[in-house]
Amino acid sequence: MKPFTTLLWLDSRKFTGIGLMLLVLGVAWFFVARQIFVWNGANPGSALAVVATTLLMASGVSVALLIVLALDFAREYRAGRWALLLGSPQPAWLYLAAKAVFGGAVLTLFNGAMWFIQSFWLAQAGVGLPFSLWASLWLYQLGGLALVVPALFLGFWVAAYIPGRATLLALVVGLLGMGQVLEWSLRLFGDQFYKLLPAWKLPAPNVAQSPGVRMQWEAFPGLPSEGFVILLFLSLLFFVLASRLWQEVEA
Amino acid sequence: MLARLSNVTKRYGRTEGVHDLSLELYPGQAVGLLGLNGSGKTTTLKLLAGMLFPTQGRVEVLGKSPRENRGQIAYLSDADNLYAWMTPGDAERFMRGLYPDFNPRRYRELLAFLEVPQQSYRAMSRGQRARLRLAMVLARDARLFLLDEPLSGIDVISRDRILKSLVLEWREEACLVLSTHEVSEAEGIFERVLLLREGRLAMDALAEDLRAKGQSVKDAFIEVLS
Repeated sequence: MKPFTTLLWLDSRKFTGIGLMLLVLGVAWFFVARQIFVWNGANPGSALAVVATTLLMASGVSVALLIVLALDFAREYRAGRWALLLGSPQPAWLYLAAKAVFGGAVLTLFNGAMWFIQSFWLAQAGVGLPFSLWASLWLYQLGGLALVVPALFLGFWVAAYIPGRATLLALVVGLLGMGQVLEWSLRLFGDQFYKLLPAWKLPAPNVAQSPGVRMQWEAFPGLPSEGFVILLFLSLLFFVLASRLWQEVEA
Repeated sequence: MLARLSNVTKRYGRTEGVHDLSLELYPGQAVGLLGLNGSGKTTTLKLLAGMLFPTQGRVEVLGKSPRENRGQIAYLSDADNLYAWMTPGDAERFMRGLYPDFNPRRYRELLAFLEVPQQSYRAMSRGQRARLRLAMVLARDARLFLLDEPLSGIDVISRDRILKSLVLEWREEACLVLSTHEVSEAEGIFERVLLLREGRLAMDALAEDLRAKGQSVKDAFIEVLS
């Protein structure tokens, strides 16, 4: 447990600034969301604006976090810090798991805060929101992170085998390559395996309706499972490949 | 025998880092790896540390590949590679967490001896940074210590303290390989000298034999490499 917590601590120290920025963003959005209802009144337009902006922010932060992780890999390599990590006798999966858990925790905390802010102000306006809508976003964000973290490691190590060293361009090319693998997997799953996958849906939401606001939410049908299963499958594949390369790395 | 390079060649594209290099390292030796810039010193140390694959040949540390035995290897990179926010206390936490053979008591003694200030890495001078990184490496109970240019570009006082700490931390079961081109200052601690020229081993001699011939390590360095 000690090496794992050390790696989590290392990431938390490295990304303290980003954490503070997210905190400021959350606090600012809390007050801005309130002002939207104050200025426009409790009507469907205001509720829709708050929900759409919150979803957009949560998705944007998810993508931004992945970009930050990618840049961090490149920066660490250029600074020669991999020698510190590669020299330690800890297994590769520990680094991968710590990075994924750290990213997942940041996303979960941020999404939780966003969910709270949105629900709080919508409740003031008498509007309910299906939780499963939010949960699906969160699960897909985590799925994307679970895929991208090993893919980043993999892209990084593959790039390290190219004379001239890993560059941001090599990482981008590596990620595009992963995109191709994702497309092939989608076809494979779609053509061959999708029918065999078990049905997996979140409970149907209870959609609150407020006569005063006269807002109708469409019943959310549940979470489509195939994309999430593909993400987890590819994550496992990349995880194994990246762990193997770690053992024979050239840095 | 602790480590062995057998007919090792390392190419970077069209450039050769080292060519057909063979050598053996034994416990209890302090080895000076000397050569001009670009002679292959860093490549040799990285091969021994498992940070590079040989293009040809074989590298072994305690009978296994360096990556398999990385817990026995303490490698000090020539890069200024610690996190800017890290204090010596943070560095201790980092090393304790990831390196099971890290000895915190020895680390604190080394910090005191090397006069490393309790401030962030970014606030330290170049010499203080080099001393902190050296303390982190020497506080490990590894068998093979690989130090890449620990004396390069730092002040005379820091160099003196680093060399003294190397002597103080000497252990019979370990082998120390130190690359440098500050030959005259490090001369006193070398038991064996490896001179590299253009990626090839130009000389492998015991310092005692050189002295018996009336030569210092510096004299041999100049004679072979000039």
